[in-house]
Amino acid sequence: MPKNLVTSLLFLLPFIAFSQEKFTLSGYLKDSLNGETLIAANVFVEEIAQGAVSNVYGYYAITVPKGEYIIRYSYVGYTDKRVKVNIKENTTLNIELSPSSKILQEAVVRSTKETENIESTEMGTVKLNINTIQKLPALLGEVDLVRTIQLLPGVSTVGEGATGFNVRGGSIDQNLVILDEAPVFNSAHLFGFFSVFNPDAVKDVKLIKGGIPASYGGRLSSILDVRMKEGNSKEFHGTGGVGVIFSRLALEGPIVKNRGSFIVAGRRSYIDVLAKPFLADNLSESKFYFYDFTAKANYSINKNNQIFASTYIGRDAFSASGIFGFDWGNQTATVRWNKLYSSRLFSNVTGYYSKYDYQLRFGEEDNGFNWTSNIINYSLKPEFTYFINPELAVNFGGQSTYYTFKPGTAITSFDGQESSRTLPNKYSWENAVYVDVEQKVNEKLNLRYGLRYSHFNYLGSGDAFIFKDTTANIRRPLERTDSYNSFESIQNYGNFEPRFSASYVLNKVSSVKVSYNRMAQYLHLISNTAASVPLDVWTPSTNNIPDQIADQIALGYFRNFKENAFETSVEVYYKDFKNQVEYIDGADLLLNELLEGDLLSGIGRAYGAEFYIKKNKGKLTGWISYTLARSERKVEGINQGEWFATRFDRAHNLNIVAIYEISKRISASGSFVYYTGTPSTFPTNKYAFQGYQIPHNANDSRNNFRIPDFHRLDLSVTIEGKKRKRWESNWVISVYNVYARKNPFSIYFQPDPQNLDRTQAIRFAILGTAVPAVTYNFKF
Amino acid sequence: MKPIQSILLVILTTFLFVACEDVVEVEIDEAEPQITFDAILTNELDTQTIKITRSNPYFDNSGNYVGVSVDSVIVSDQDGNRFPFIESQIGEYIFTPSGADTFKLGNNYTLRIYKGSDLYSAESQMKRSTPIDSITYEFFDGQGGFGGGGTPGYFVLLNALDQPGAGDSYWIRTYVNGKFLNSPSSINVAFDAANPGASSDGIPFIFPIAFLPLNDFAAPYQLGDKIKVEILGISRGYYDFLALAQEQLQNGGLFAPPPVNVRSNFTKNRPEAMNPTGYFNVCELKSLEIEIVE
Repeated sequence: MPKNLVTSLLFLLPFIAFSQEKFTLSGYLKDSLNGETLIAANVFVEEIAQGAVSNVYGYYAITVPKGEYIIRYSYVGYTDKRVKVNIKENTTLNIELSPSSKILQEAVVRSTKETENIESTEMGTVKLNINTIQKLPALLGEVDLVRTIQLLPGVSTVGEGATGFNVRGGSIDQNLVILDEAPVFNSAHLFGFFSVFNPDAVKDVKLIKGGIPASYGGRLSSILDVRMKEGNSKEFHGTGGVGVIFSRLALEGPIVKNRGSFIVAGRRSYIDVLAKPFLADNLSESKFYFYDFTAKANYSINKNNQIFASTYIGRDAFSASGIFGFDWGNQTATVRWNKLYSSRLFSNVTGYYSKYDYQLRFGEEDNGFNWTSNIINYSLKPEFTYFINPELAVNFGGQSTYYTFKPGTAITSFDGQESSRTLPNKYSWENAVYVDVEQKVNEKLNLRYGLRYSHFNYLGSGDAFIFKDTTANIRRPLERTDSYNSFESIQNYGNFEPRFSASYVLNKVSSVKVSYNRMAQYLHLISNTAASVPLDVWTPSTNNIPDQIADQIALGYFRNFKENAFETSVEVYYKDFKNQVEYIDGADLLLNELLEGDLLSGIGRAYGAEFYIKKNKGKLTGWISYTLARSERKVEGINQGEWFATRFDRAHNLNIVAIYEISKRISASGSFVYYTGTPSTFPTNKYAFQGYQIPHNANDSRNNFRIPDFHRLDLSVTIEGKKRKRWESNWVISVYNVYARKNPFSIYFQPDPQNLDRTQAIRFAILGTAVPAVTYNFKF
Repeated sequence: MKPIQSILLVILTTFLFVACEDVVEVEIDEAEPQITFDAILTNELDTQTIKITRSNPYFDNSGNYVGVSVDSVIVSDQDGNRFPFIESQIGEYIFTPSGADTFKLGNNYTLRIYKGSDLYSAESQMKRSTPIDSITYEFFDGQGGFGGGGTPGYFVLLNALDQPGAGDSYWIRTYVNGKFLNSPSSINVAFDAANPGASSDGIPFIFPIAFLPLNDFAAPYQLGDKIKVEILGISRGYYDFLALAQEQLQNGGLFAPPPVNVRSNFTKNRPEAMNPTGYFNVCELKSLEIEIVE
C-alpha cells in the first residue's frame, strides 16, 4: 500500500508539457579556497528571472528552454559570479565562488540570499553557519552548537547544565539530532555543558521547528541537522584551540587533489589533569573527562558518483578508583553515495550505524556492581530529487531502520560470587516512504507539500507484558506474559504524516507563510528527572507504549527592512500532542523489566508566538528574539486529571545577541538571556511519621509553583593575532554570567541536615559565579 | 534501582559542580491539613503505639505536631480477634500484647479508627523478616577509600541473607547508642537482597543496602559505640511507601524526579473526612546489637 501510494503520487504530479525544447544546467557549487561544497547557494537565470538553490551536497539543477543566458551564482559572504552560458544541450557547470572580504564573510547568521527568508517556504527554520557560532560569547570560551541554538526563538532548556533542548513545548527526546544523517541519541558532554559536536568539524547547522519536510521523520518537535565539513580538497590545513577546559585539533586536506578530501578532528577535556594536585590522595586516581573524535572522507569516483564516509566517537567518563566508574558515549558511522542518474535526477543513498551506550560500576572487581545498557540502530536511506523544471522539484525516498535495545545488564558480585540480572533485549524495525514536492506556483506563491508514511514494528524475540487495569497513577499489576519468537511481530503502528507549507510574497520585502505538519514518533526516552541523566534508557513503542503523534500548525509574517539589513519575523504556532509518556508516582525506571506498568499516557498542547529581529549588515550585527509560549499536559492520575504546565514550560523567553566589529582585529560580542522560571511542584504541608517529616501537597497538584526567573549576560572579545604566512590565530577572552547571578536550576525541600526537626527550601544553582576564560585558537 | 541511582547522582553532583545551594524563603499558600496515622506494629512483646497527629504547614518549624483524639482505635485479625488501643496521651494510642503469638506471621490485620462520623481504615498482612548473621566492622584511617579525607573510625557491615523465595520486602533500621538514625539517607529498604526487578533472591544484601546507609561517612563509629540493627519484614506497599518517602526527603539537584505525595494505605469512609496520610503495617522484627571493641 505505501509503496503504491508513492508511485501513484509521483505520476500524478503535475508534469509540465514539454512544448519547447528544454535542457538542464547542473553542477556543484564549491568554495574556491578549500573546495567545501556550498549548501543552499543561489543560482539565478537573469533573462527569465528564475532560480534554483543548491542542495545539502552542493548540487544544483535548473531546466530552461534552449538559449543563451547569463547565470548569476551567489552565496552570502562570497563574491557573486556571473557566467554566460549557451544552453543547447544538457550542460554541467561546476562553479567555485570566492569568499568576499573578511568583514562581510563574518556577518552574523548568513542567509543564502538576501531575500531568501521572504521567498522560501521554510518557516520555523533557522540555519546557522559555524562562523556565526564562533563569534558568540561562550561558556569557558568554547563555542558550542547546542548552546547557540538555545538563543533562537522557540528553543529553550530546563536549565544550565541540562542535557538537550526543548523546541516549541516538546520534550528533549522529541528532537531528531542528526550528524551526517546518523542520529545522535545523547547530544551532551559533561551532562549538558557542551554538545558532542566539535565546531572545527561542523560546516552547517539547520534547526527545523515547523513545516518539517516529508523527508524527515521519527520525532515530534524538531530536526537538528548537522553537516560535517568535507575537508579541504585543495591543500592541507589545520585548526585548533587551547582552552581552559579542553583542547581541540582538526586536520584536513586533499586525498587526491580536487577529487577527494578528508578531515579528522578531536577534542579532549583535561579537568582531571588540572584538578589532580588538588585532590585528596584517595581521589587522585579519579578520572573525569570527555573526548570526541570526528572524521570524514569523500572521493569523487567520476563526475556522476561521489562517496562520503564519516564517523563520530565520543565518550564521557567519571571514575574514582575502587569506588565507582561511570562512562557513556555515542558512536556513529555513515556512508553516503551521491549519484547523478541524469543531470535532473540526483540521488543519495545513506547507510548508517549509530550506538549509544553506558556503563556504571560500583565497588571493586569481586565485590561490586556493574551495569551496562545500549541502543544500536542500522539504517538504509535512499533519497532522490527530480528537478522537473525551475518551478517544480520532487524529492522522494524512504528509510528502513533496525533497532536493538539493550535496556540493561547488571552484575552484582559479592566475595567473587556473581549474580547477574539481564533485562531482555528489545527489537524493532521502522520503515518509511515519502514524497515531497517543491513547487513555485507563480511569482508570489511557493508551495512545499508532501506525505510520509511511517510504519513501526515491535519485534520478537521477547516477551510482551499484558497488564491489568487499575486506578490511574498506580503501578499496573501484570496479568500475563506472552512470548514471541525472533522477528515475530508483537505490535505494529503505522501513520500517514501529511506535510504542507506555503509562502505568499506580498511584495519585495514581505511575505506570509503557513504550514502544517503531522509527526509520528516511535522511540521514547524514559526520563522522569529534572534534567535528563545519561542513564536514561530509550525504549521502542510496544503493546503498552503507543506511538506519539503531534500535529502542528504555524502562521508567519516575514518582513525585511533597510535593504534587507534587518530581517524580522513573527510566527505563531499551535501543537497538539497525543500519547505523551508520563510516569506514575514513584515509578521505577531503571533495570525494571515491568517498566511499562509504571508508565502513563497523556495528551499535550503547546502554543506560542515567536518574534525575531536580525541585523545582518554593518559593524553591529546580531539578533533579538522573544518567545511567548505555553506547554501543557493532561494525564489521568496526575494533577487530579487537570492540565498542568510541563517541566519545560517557559512563558517568556528573551534573547539578545550582539556582535560589534571594533576594528579589523578586534570584535566584541555579548548575549543576554531571560527566561521565566520553570514550573515546580512545592509541598504545602508536612506530617510526622516514624521520626521523619514527610512533605505533602494537599491538593495533589503538579507544577503548582514557579522558581525565580533566569537571566544571564555573557561577554566576549576576540582579538586576531598577527597574520603570518601559514599561521592565523586569535585570542578569545570571555566572561560567562557576568553579574554572577545565582540562577536557580530548582528549588527543593529538605530537612535541615544540621537539625533534622527543621525543614527548609533550598535554591540550587549550577553556577553561582561569573566564569572567565581565555581560549587561543589557531589555523594553519 | 533507586538507591543506586540516587547514590550515583549524589556522587556525580558533588564531583562535578561547584554547584551552589542556599536556603531561601518561599511563600506557600495555606492548605487543608491532613490527619496522619503512624501505625507500624511489630511482633515484639513491648507496648505497641499508634500515633495520630495533624499535619503542619511545610514551614512550621515548631516541631510540634498536634495530637488528634479519636473515639476508638481497633486492630482486628482475620479470625475476628480484636486488639483495642487505649489513649495514653492526646493522639497516642497503646496496646500491650498478652503473649508472643498476639501478632502472627501471615495473618491479616485491619486497623479501624473511628472519629465522629469518620472511619479511617487500613489493612496489613504480617510479613517475615530475616535473621542477622552478624554485624562486622573495620577501621579506616580516613586517608584512603571510604571516608577519605575524614575522621578515622569504624565502618559497619550488615551480614544477612535474604530469605529464599522471591518477593520479600525489608526495612532495615539502625540505632546508635539507642538513638534511631533518622536522616533521610539512613532510610534503608530492600526487596529480596536488592531492589524490585533486580532478581536477587536468597543472596546477601547488596553493598548499597548492607553498608552505605548504616554508616555516616563524615562521622564514623568510635570504640564503645553500640550499634543495633533491626530488620523488619514489611509489605510491598510499605516498601514502596518508604522508598518514595526517602526520594521525597532527598529530592534535589540536577536529576530530581518531580516531587509527589507518598501514598497512604488508609482510606476514609466519606469525602468530608480529612485526607489520611501515614501507614499501617504489622511486621516481623529481628534485631542484633553489637559494641565496637578493639
